[in-house]
Parts: sequence; C-alpha cells; structure tokens
Amino acid sequence: MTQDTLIRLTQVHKTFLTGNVETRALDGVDLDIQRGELVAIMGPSGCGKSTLLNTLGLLDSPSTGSYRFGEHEVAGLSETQLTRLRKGNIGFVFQSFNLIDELTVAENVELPLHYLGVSKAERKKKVAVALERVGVAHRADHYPQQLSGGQQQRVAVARAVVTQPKVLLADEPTGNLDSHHGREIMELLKELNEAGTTIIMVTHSESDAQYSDRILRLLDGRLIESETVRRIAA
Amino acid sequence: MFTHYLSAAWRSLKRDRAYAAINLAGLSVGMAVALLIGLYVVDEMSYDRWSPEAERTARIVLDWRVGERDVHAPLSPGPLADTLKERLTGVEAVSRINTTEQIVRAGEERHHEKQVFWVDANFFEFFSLPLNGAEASEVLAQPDRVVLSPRAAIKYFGTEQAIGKVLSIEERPYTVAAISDLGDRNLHFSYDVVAPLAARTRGPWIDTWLAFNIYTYFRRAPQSSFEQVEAGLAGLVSQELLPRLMDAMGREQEEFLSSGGNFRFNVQPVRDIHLHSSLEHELGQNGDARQVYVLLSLALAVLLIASINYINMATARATRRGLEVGLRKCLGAERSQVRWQFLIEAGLVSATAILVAVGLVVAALPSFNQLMSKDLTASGLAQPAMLATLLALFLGSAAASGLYPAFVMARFRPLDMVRRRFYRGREGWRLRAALVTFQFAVGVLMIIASLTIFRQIDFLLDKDLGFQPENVVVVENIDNLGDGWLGLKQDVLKAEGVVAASGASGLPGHWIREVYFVGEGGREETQTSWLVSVDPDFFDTLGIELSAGRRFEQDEPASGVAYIDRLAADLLGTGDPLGQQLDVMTIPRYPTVVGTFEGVHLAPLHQGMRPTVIRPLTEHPKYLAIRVTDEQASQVLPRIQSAWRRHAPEQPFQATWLEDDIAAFYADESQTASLATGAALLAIFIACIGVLGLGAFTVEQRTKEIGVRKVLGASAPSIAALVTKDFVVLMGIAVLIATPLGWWLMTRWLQDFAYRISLGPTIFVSAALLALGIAVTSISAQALRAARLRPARSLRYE
Repeated sequence: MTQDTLIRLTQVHKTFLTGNVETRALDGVDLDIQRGELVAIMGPSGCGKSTLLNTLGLLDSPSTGSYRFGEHEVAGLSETQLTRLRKGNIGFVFQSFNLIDELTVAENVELPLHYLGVSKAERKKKVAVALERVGVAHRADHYPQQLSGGQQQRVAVARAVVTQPKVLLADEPTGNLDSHHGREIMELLKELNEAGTTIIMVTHSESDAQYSDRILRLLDGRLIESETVRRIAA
Repeated sequence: MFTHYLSAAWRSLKRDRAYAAINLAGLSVGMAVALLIGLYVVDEMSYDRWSPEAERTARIVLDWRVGERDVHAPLSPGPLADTLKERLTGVEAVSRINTTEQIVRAGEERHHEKQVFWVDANFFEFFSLPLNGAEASEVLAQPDRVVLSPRAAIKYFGTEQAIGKVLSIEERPYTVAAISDLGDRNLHFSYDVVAPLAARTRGPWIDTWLAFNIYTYFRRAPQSSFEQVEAGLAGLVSQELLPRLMDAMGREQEEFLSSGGNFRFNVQPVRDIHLHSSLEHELGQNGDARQVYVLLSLALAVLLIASINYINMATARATRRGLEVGLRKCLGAERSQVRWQFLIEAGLVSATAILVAVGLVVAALPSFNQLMSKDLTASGLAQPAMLATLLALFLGSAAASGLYPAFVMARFRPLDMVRRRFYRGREGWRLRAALVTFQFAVGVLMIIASLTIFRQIDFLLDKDLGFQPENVVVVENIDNLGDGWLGLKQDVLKAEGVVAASGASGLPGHWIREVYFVGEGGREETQTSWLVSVDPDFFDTLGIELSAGRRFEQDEPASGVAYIDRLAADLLGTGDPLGQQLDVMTIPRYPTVVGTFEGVHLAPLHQGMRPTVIRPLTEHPKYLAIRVTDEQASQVLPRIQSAWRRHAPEQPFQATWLEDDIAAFYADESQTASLATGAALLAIFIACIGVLGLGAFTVEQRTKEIGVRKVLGASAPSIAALVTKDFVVLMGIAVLIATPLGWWLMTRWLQDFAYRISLGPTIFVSAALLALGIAVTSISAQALRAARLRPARSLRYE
C-alpha cells in the first residue's frame, strides 16, 4: 500500500440472507483507490454497486475479507467505531438528495459539523463557505421542498463536503435530475475533485462516467473490468 | 367481494401482528372497564325497578327541626298509615314496616338478628315480593306466622325446606309459613325474618302519634300524584299531629314555628331511595348517585383514552397503506370499495376487541365484586342495557377507527399515493401529539388523585386518636345481661392476657350518642356533641390520659360528674372548666365537670370536630371494651367467649377488634382509593400503549431522517434522544395541564374531611416523575430500535 493509496479492499465478500435465500452481493472484490482519484462504478441493476458503495462508505461492513481505510482496518469494527471513523472522513451524496425536510438548507449543511462537535462560530463560517462554493448561498434559509432538484442536490453536495472529508461517495448523483442540471452537478464534482477531494461515484450514465479517471465495471458482485478513461483532449 | 375484503383485512392484520396486538390490548382493556362499570351502574339503577307498581309507591319521610337539631328520617307514627288511607283519596294502599333487634331461637340454635321485620299483613302483596309456600294475601294473616329468607332458613334449620317449623322470638312461637327468595331482585331493603306487625303488642308505641318508629309506605291511585298526597299530608299534620306534639313538648304551635321549629312529612318515591337517599335510620345500605357518576366518568375517561389510541394507531397505519390503496385504485377500485375495505377491517378488529373484553370482564368479575361489595354475574351482559352498550362499543370503535381512513384515503388521487405524495413531512403529527398529550394529562390527573386519596386515608388511619385502639376487644349487647354484665366483666378480668375492661354506652367504630351541648350562650345556642357513658375503668381500658382533674369512683352518684374535652371547654367560656355545671340537654340533672381530656377522637374523623362529653354510666352499657396484652392477643378471644358462655349461655356471643371497627368506618374511602388506583393504572397503561404506538409511528415516519443523520455521523444516543425528546416535551405539557387541575380537584375532595392532609408539592412531583418515567420507558424501546437502525437499510426505502 503506497502512501497514496486511500482505500484497499482485499477479497471482500458480502452476503445477505433473505428468508432462507442467500444472496451474494459482493463476491471477492479486490480494489485500490488512490488519493485524489475520481472513480466511477458502473454495472446493471443488482450487480452490487450500492452494496460496494455502502461498504466503502462504512455504512455496512463486509462479511469476509479486509478493508483498509487509510491506516485503519475496517472489517470487524463495531457500529460505534464505524460511526466515529465515518464522521468527517466520508461525505455522501445520494440520488434522492436525502435532505431533512424539517431543517433549512443551512441547517442541513450544518448537521455533520454538529455531530463532529464543531463550535458554533466555526460552523457558521464553514456552512457559508460550502454554500457559496456550490452556488446556493442565497437559499440558505429556505426549506428543501422550496428548491429545484438541481439546487437540492447542490445543497446535498455542500453538506457532503462541509467537513472536508477524505472521500466523497456519490450514489447516482444525477439520477433524479434532468440533463442540464445533471451536467452542472458533474461539473461541480469535477471541480471538487480537482481541488483535491477523492470521489467515488456509482452511475448508470456513460456520459457522467466520462468525468472520471477510472471506470470500474461490476457484474454479479465481481469486478470484471477496470479501465482508465482517456480524455479526449480539450 | 365481501370475503375478499375479509381475507384482505385478516392478512393485513396478520402481517402487522405487533400493531394488531397493541391495538387490541388497549381497546379491549378500555372496553372491559366500560363493561364492568356498566354492569355495576345498571345494577345500581335497577333498585325497585322490577315491580311495575313501584312507580306509584312512595314512603313517608319525617322532616323535623327543633332548635339546632334536624331530623330527616323515613319514620312516622303508627296511626298515620290508616289515617292516610281513610282521609286521602289519592292513596290506594298503605303498608308499614317496623324493625327490631332480636335474639331469635330455633331449638337450641340462637342468633342475633339485627333487623327483624314486623310488617302489615299486606306486605308481600304490596311490594309484589316473591313467596314460596303460601299466598301473599294470607301468609301473615295470623299473628303467629313468620316468613324467612332462604339464607335464614338455612341458618336456623339447616335447610331451605323450613315451612311448618317453629322458631321463637321473645319466647313466643312463630310458625314458618313461607320462604321468600328475593333472588336477583334489588330492593332498597332486604330481610331475613319477617313477622306480622300485629304480633307486636308489647308497648303502646305502635298506636301513638308521638312515637316515630314506623316505616310507612303508600301507593298512590293512578290518577293521583305524589304532590297531591304531600299536600294532603300537610293537612293531616296540622290537624292530628302538631296539636298532640305541642301538648307533649309543652310549647305553643306559633312559638314553636316562629323560633325556627318545623315539622312536616315529605313523600319520597321508592325508586329514588337507593341512589338518592341517605337519611338517618335507612332500612338498608343505600347506594350513592355520586359514586355512580364518578364511576361513569372513570369509565368514560378510560374508554376515551383507549379510543384515542385506537384511532391514532389505526389511522397512522392506514396512511402507511397509501401505496396499497393507490395500487388498488389504479387497478380500478372505486371509492366505495376502498371505503368498505377499511370499514370491514375496523369492524373485524372491534369485534375481536369486544370478545377479548368480555373475556376480561369474566376474569375480573370476582375481584371487582369484592371491591364493590356486589354480586354481579357475567350473565348480566345479556340484559338489554348491556347488549346496547356492547353494540354501541362495537359500532363506536369501528366507526372511529374506520371512518377516517375510509373517507380520507378513498378520496386521494391514486397516482399521488403510488408516488407517495399523499404524505408530507410530519403532517398529522400535531393532532396525534395533542391526543397523546391529552391522554397523559388524564393519566397524570388520575395518579395525582389516587396518591392524594391514599395519603389522606393513611393520614386518617394513622392519626393519633387520643387513645390506643390496638389490642382492644369489643363485646356487644352486654345490656341483654342486665346487672349480670358486672359479673361478666369480673370474670373476663380474670382471664389470662386481659389487662383492663370497661362497660360503655358507645365506642369508636360503633354507635355513639349525640346530644345537645349548651355553651355560655344558653339554650338558644346549642351545639351537637358526642356523649359516652362509661364505668371508671374506661380511661385505663382505652388508654386516655386526663389533662386535668380526677378519676371518678364506682359508687359516685351517677349523673353527678362529667369529663369534657377542649372543644367543650371552649364552649363553656374562658374560665377554668373544672367545677362548672354542665348543661347537656337530655341529661336531667346538671353534672359537675371534674376532669378534662384533649385530642380524643371517639367519632369518625370525617364527621367533623364536635365536643365530647364522658360521664359515668346511668344504665346498663351496650359494650364491654377489653384491653388485652399484645402477646396474648391471638389466644384471648376463646377465653372471653367462655366467660360469656358462663354468664349468658342463651345469648349469641359477638366480639370484634376495636381497630377493625374503626377501619370499617373508612371502608368507603378505601374503596374509592382502590378504584381510583385501578383506574389510574389502567389509564397509564393504555396511555403507554398510545406512546408506544405513536413512538413506533414516529420512528417509521422518520426512518429516512434517522438514516441521513446516522450517515452524517449521529451517534446512537443522539438518535435515541432525538426520538425521546419530542415525547418528553409532550409529557411536560401534560403535566402542566394536569397539575393545576389535579390541585383544584383534590382540594375540593379534601374539603369533605375535617382532618386532612395539606396538598404539598410531593404528590405532584411524584405523579409527574412517575408518568414521565413510565412514558420514557415505553418510548425507549422505540428509541433504541431507531438508534440501532442500520443507515444502509433505512436509506434503501427510497
């Protein structure tokens, strides 16, 4: 593991038991992700993309295998330990935004700072910076339902990066958006990546995938291909 | 189609087993309480209802005021009945009852009968009472006949087949002519031994206008009214009674009336007696309309709390089923069909709840009967009033829980529901929160009430009565021994374990005579006081300390001396009470005060503070109080009984513990306390089910939010706190509502007691903490569940 390797999965398996039926969601995944990379994970429905993302995001732990996040071995950690490691290290962006309806835009963005125990003054500053960065500062006091889908996703991105996490996980971030807003979000993610944030994203869209450095293709829980994206020179 | 709805409803309930169980538990318990109380109330209201004639039947009640003394009693002089029938055309029939305490003997079997009924020959006919063995019109036609209840027949003859057998009262033989079994008919009186009034020849008091010891009943003619009879009665009083009475009292009618005196007879319909009459000398233990109202409101409160839960949970669950409804509508279901589905499901749950409730009633009846001193049976549920109640409960609960989803959900547009647009944010939360707050406010109120009642009764029972009631045996009816009571006392004193003994005319927990105490204001300003006549050992036997003065001797002139308490001394004025002459009306001479005592409460504490006078015996005492040692308390009764056998072999032995007698005076309050506690526990139990349900609902509604928060780094405790916080706030509001209300209610309740606790903060704080504790405990299960939710799983909802 080089200095630049942020994440290393070795022979990770994940099985679910539904009734008496065992489903293998991940079937021996080996994967390295370097700091500063923008990686896209693609594959058909049910291939294990979301499970892989949840595992990477420390929302779920592997059934067997090893997962090193930075200098930590994750497999076998308790729920509380996972939460502690997740806080401030990992940011999430979801397809359906997952903003809390009862909180304003600013409060939504502030939430992870709360859980990190950041002081009030500091929180205010960071929230303002994050909202400015994604371009919704003027909507700080609105409620999520009052915003367009694209704006809501921008807020979600702001919330994900406000703690300056080591990695940002995005689960079909443009899935609920029209192509125009989708492009805007992808531009925003690319910008963040170029500023140094490692990003792993699950997507169905080949055009979104073109923003990444590397595309991982998943089928039936196995990694079948890892291709480096050759960018057409601008 | 109907079977389809039924099976869909059944499956949906099976799928949500926990929901169905919680919902059913709360509703069933609420219904069971309503049914139990319903049985009780229906029974209480059935008194004197079973006889159609009873509607036209009334009794005559004496209302007599002389000086300070008011007499309200259902008593009248013997000749009144005949005069009524002769003079008033509105009176169709009359019937009289007189009761006496007697020793009744059958062979060697002797029993003390507290209430032998001496009645006119038409008694059984007049009241339409059941008779077995003789015609109602003839059964008591001869003066040497007697009618027994089955219970009395078994007591005297060991069998209900007692007709033709002979028993004797005051050494006169009476032949059992019939058995009268009241069965489940409720009357305002009950009897064991009924004998003809015509046999009561001893004493002139039945034929005089100046003795008031007859219960006179009459039946008005159909075209007449009770008001007319009452007006006629007033005429009779001024013609027949007042002149005689004034003569006997040596007063002039005008002077008597102008000095505030009053004498009249009122008419009291028999159907008003059981629930609305509490006069002196009632024939039986009457009920109390207030008790019925209190119970009805308890039942309503518990039922209301239970229905709120039920509605809350049923509707919360229904909104969750929006997707299903949307799909059904997309597939072509019409509004009415969706409605029917919800209504049938609600009906299914309600019907099951009723069945469970009936089961609970059957299981709880024995303890409920014991608590309420009733003899109710589950078969009572089959009477029309209860069947109507059952139907109302079924329809009410089914409608309450089924109508909202049936009509609101049926109206939603199908696509909105499939897309889950019908539900936004925490809509409906406010209404549910308000309902749960209300439930808990009622619960807290009930806890406050039961804590207050308990503390008050404890206070009464623990209050220093000024004497030691422990280890005192009371033997009753020693006046039947005549002078022989002194021999009995000497004999009892020789028994091992007996420390002291004293004859007394009255004792705590028993009857105590009331007299008029004349203070320094003279005879115009009298005050009711207690009078007890005792022998010189009384103070030692009860452990009363004199605060001043001396004891009296056995041979002291009987009415020469008296002892008074602080209240009586205050009435005499400021000077030293010792040596003063006492004017107690009905005591012929003026005894001298030779001693005082303080803080002695011989009468029940809720009868208020009245002066107490103790004086030497002037006649044979009714009671023998016997102090025994603590160690011998359990073995001493047989020794006292054998002493009794030697002195009164013919007489039944009746002994009780003074402490039990005193506690029996607070039986009503103890019953109220048990009831209030039971109701409070149920209310809290059902309210907890409400919290549990609302908690589960909230967690479910907030699954996404909880997931997001966890992804963002929220710890398990902070999630648990998030869920619990809202409820704690609601509980806080409930406490804020219940506390002033509880304070107001309980202050009013306490006002009935002369000696009462002060309502300190302890009761309210404990009630609040108790309710909060219970609520937090029941919500914590949900909170923990929420805290443990795996975010990956909860977000998959989207």
